Amino acid sequence: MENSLSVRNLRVSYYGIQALDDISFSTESGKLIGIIGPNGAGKSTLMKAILGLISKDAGEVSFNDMTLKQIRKNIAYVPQRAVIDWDFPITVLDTVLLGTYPSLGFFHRPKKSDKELAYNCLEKVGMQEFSKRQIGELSGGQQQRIFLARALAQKADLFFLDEPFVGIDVSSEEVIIRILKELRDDGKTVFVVHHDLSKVTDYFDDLILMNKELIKFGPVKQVLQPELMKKAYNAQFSLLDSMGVII
Amino acid sequence: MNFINDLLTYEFLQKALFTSVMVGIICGVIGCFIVLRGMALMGDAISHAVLPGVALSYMFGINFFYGAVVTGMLTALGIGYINQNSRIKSDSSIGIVFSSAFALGIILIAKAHTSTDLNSILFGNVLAVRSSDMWTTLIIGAIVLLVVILFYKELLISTFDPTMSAAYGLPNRLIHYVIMILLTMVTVASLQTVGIILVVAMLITPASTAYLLTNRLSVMIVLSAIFGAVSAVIGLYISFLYNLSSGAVIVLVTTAFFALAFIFGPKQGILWRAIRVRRNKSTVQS
Repeated sequence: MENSLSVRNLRVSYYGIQALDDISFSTESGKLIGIIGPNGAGKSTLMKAILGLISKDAGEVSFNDMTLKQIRKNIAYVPQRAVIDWDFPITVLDTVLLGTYPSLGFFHRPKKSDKELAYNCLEKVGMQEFSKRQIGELSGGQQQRIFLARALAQKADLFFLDEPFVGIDVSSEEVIIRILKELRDDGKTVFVVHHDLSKVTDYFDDLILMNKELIKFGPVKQVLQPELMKKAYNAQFSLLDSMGVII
Repeated sequence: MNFINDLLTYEFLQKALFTSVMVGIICGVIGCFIVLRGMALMGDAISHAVLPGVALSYMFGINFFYGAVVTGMLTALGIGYINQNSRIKSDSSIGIVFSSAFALGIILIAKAHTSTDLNSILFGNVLAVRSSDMWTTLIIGAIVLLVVILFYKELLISTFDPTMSAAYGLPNRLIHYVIMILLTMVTVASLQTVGIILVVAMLITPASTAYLLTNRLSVMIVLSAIFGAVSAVIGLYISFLYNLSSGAVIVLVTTAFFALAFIFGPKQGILWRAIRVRRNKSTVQS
């Protein structure tokens, strides 16, 4: 199974201000890949541009030599928690069931088998006992697990998660990273926007280090080099330097 | 019961009741999406923006349905355009566009020399519902319900998580404008019953009442339709009994339902919430 992603000369701008500058890389399938960089580096923008959620100025994105349109339904996206309306009248199980919508297409209602799939995915993230709750009644970590379950229900080949570990409890983080690693072991490709540098070695195979432009893409050890990190985290590091902090 | 007797005797009353119930149902259904998408103000805007369209239709001697849909859509597009191309916040751009459309409508209506006066468009006149109005309402109702039933999944996901719906290829913007079209159609259907000014109440009050009572969109839609329909019946009855403006009374009945749900609703109601807080406090203290 091939689940590779290739990005060539990708450029994105907001109102004339360059957000992504000439980014190129290509990943292999079966990798867990972290996207790291300082605040405002364009990490989420990169993800959204790859998924066609924002328009790009130039560049190409292809998945196993297929276009986004052809493969769209095999891609699962887990948005940042902050963009979801948690007061929406929807239960936990129905939220997971949304994952089956892309494959259902128009005019088809979820069947019993789809509901069973949703329930199984809920079990995988250990949330089955909450299936009838309204989604706002959960903790941040539980909410994130629900959205991971939804991505699982989508039976996708590529997964994109935007800051899944922000503001969640330790056990939820463990559950999520375990599942992401299982997906990788099944040959899926998983991209995670991440900003906590302390755990990147444990979590990821490859890293995309960026700050508007691509600083370095490769295996974690090759990317976590002092001079590269300094280049990416330019401002923050000089601030730390001036305060006498040694990295 | 006098009302029932009259209802059986007078055809105009039957038409009034049927049209009001239909309006209650479709406003309730579409209202759920308006409320959940945070578009209450947009609903108010579109309903007002129908006025110039109605006036122009009279001038050209066409069914006012067409004119209303055109000006309603132009308003929706205009608001979207100002929003996306300036720093003006959405509530302000809504205010600018719809009030000017409404102002234009007031002038045009005066020039149109119609038999229907401004008053009955603004405030409705349900007892003057003609057969053709009733059929228009029925057809609009059928279209609205059909669209919501057929595209329920797409409406649900684009309302709840527009990013996911865009990610798997749903046309969010098209869906937005389809809802706007449905909204104009519903407004046209409601002209006779509650009038332009009060349509927004029929859209958001029953839907908000339902929102307080359930955690499922499908249930919310059904409840909202029921509240809309029942309010129409009760409101029409009261207005008939005491000779009051029907639209205004129907709206106040929807408000009464909302007040009941707000206070006594089992989960969100302020009464039970207060009791739960108190109970919790006393268990903590003891």
